[in-house]
Amino acid sequence: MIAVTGKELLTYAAEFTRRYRSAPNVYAREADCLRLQFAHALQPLREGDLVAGRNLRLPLGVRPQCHGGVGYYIHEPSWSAAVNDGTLTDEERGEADALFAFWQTENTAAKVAAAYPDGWLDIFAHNVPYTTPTAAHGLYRISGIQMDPTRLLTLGVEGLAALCEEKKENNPAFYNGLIQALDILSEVCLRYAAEAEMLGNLALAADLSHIAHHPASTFTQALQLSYIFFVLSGTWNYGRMDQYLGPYLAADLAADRLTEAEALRWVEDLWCRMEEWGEYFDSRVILGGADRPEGADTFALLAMEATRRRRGVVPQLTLRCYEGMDPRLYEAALDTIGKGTTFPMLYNDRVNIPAVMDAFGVDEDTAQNYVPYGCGEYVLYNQSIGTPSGTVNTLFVLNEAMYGKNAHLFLDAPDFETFYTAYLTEVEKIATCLSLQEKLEYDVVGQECPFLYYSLLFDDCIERGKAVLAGGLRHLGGTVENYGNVNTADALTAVKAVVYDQKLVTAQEVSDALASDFAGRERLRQLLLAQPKYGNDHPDADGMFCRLHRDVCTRIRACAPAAGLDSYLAVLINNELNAVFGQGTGASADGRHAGEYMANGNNPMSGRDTCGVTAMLNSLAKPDTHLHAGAVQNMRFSKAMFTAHRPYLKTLLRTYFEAGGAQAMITVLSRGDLEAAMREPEKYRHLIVRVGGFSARFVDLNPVVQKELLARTLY
Amino acid sequence: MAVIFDIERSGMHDGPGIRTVVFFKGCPLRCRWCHNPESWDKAPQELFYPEKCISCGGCADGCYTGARSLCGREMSIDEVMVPILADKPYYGAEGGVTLTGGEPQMQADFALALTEACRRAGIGVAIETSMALYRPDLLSQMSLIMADVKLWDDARHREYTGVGNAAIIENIRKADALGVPILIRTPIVPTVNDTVEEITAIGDFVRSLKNAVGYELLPYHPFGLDKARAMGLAMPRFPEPTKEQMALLNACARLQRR
Repeated sequence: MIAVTGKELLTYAAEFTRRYRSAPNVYAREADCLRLQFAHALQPLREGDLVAGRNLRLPLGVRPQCHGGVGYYIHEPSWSAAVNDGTLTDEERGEADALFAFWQTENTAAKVAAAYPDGWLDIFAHNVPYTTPTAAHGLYRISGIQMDPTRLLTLGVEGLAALCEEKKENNPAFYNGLIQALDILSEVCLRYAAEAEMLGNLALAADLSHIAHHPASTFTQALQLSYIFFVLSGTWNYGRMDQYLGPYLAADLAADRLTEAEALRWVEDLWCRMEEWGEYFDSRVILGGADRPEGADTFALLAMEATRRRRGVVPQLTLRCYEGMDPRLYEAALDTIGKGTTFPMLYNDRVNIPAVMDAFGVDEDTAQNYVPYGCGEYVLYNQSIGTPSGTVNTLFVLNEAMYGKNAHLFLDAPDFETFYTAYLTEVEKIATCLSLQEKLEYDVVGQECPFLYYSLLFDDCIERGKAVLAGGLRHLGGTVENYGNVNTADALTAVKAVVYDQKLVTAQEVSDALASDFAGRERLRQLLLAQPKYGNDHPDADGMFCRLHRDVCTRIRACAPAAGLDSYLAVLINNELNAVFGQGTGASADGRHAGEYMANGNNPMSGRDTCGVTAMLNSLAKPDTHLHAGAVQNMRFSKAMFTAHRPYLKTLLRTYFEAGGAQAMITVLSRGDLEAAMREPEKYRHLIVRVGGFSARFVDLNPVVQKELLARTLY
Repeated sequence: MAVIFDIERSGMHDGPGIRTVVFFKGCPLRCRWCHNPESWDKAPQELFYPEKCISCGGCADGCYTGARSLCGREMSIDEVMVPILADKPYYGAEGGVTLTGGEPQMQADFALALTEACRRAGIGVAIETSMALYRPDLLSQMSLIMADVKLWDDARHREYTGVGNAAIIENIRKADALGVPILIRTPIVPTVNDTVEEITAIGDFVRSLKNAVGYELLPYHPFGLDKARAMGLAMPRFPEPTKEQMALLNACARLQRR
């Protein structure tokens, strides 16, 4: 996967390290290192390419997010693979080892970890496998960057550089860094232009030569310039694409410079680059929303057509639905989803805009510009960062309070309310620590890495003369991924009913049964399983989930001021870690066995929604959306719902959105598809499923995840 | 109060649109292919699914696995209205409530009161009925009557369902005078009624009705057998009709549609 030999890596790493050590300041350091990094990481154009920007992940580099690291990173597995490929002499091996040792302590994530006060690592784990039994993980990344490239497209590289020149005296080192970053962008465009010329693609060469200096003047130039910028920046999310490309498309179509069919080929090739890059948890492209210019709808339709034709797992096409949206967009969306692409995901602006206003504490104009990134976390477009740098497994915390190190909380509680309050306090301790960890990460990374490309585009950085994490950013947010909340609520519903209300069993009996994974206590497990479960429109079960959701989200949200963040919000968004974390999570009082998967996001525990799709949708629409930064709402429908029963489907989705549903991520399957794919994977490469906040080819998934998907209800 | 044995939410096969389907317990017919044999007896009854039993020995204190489950319980109008009102936003212009069973006309007073409660809530009600009974006060309130004609010959109808069809045909004719749309349906049970002659004869009858809105054929499926076993009842397994067979008969039924 890393196409570098040991010799190449050693040469590169030695020079990278030399630049790192000798630069006069962090801005010049990053620019110097990036220039070298791109010389190695960017891959040549290939015959037939319409869009340039192929890229590799190197074992050593500087990126906001790469290989589980942040800032200056070193990736041990790919480093070891390269240096052990037999191309190095003993002496060179020694040099490589010395470099490795240097970066072991000098990488930015290590600097973050080194700054942790005593005690933090008793609360969360880091750098351990996700199957490790633990309540919380600290993560290292600045992820989920959603930038608006409009300023770059309209000013051009030279125009943006001139803006930096103008302001230079405020903070010369910073602006020089930005100017250098623009120089690199220009150099990369010219390098690709030369390659295009060699390949005889003169139109592409002309576009690349033009955008190396000037503003984009056509659709293809705008598409190319924005994509190369994104690749260099290190973001894996591509903003409101119909908004920034729509006007160029409209102008080209009006002037007969381009046909829609030609434009579609470019979009499809862009989708190819994204798929080759392969960030399946990210790669968001946002369409829709009320405030878009002319041409945006045309682009949105093309984007969906490209997805329908390519049937890839990225980009994660996202449609922000709003009142007054052109009905053609909605129909195209249903056509595209109905083909089994899982895209676009449908977001409900009527619910989400007021929710974002409250959750982030911003006005309506700002909230209008909310965008989901990655698996579905919301950020403010071009204004905020909200990387999830921590995870909390609330079910693990509950288990600890029932039969683990805090079992006294359950065993000594005189009533349910006492136990519940004590449990929430445990969650709060973890959330508080993770919020401080998030801010510390921002601070350490901010000192080390200006992230020049982010600082070029994010609102206020150029104006303030400050890098994105050093005071430049308008809204410094944070998020914490929640896992197991639905199982926790189901467990609490069951415990409240059978231990406290009906007194059928004692707390000690439940605790003992859980500790032994119900060995010899199957009847008790069945009693717990028989209690109402979230996802069936049942007042007790849904009421408990909504209560827990409110209490957990509120406690997390309250951490922001003390941590020094503008917002700190729960995200009820899981990729596939609900299944993986489940492996390290013991038996739970919802009747779940030890090691079994947990529910994904805010969805019912797989297969426990048994009362029909209207009941399930009613449940999904209940939890308060104003307290968090996004929740995954997966649902799966049979193909008939998109053909013979399409009017019913539209009624279901419309009613769900009217009831307060925030979004819908829809997988379309035929009955028996997944079972057949497990039997004959080679015949089912085409089968794409929505897992959590990402889509995947079913046959490529970890068997633990496949098992969870098999159990989900198909409507 | 009425004995109800299930309320299915988001039904899409029991009338137009998205529907809440209320299953009334008790039926005068004993169709040998019945897919809801647990609906025959009006009284609540215990079903036993041995495959779900974990032999915990706690039967007396209640079964949690669903191995022993009580089918049917007395419900009030208010109780039945809870899921109906929760589903109401999904009905749209077409959907609503479907009364089915069993035979809803066996508990017609309750069915009528439920229909009135729905009407007050702005919800339309349809009925699936054998038409072995005739309660015009109830039927006249329906948005749609879905009635089965299972066999055209009276004697064979008696042989396979326990009752003759003369009263059923007569009741359908009377209902036709109520001005309510009627959808006639026939379950296609191979070896019993899967012939062109049978469907043509029923189709001719459908054509003679002035308020018939269609004629639908429903393929037999053996879903009732597990439930029959859970009741300790032996029921025959019929072959399932093939797609080709259904296509042929459907073509025949379509020719008869008004």
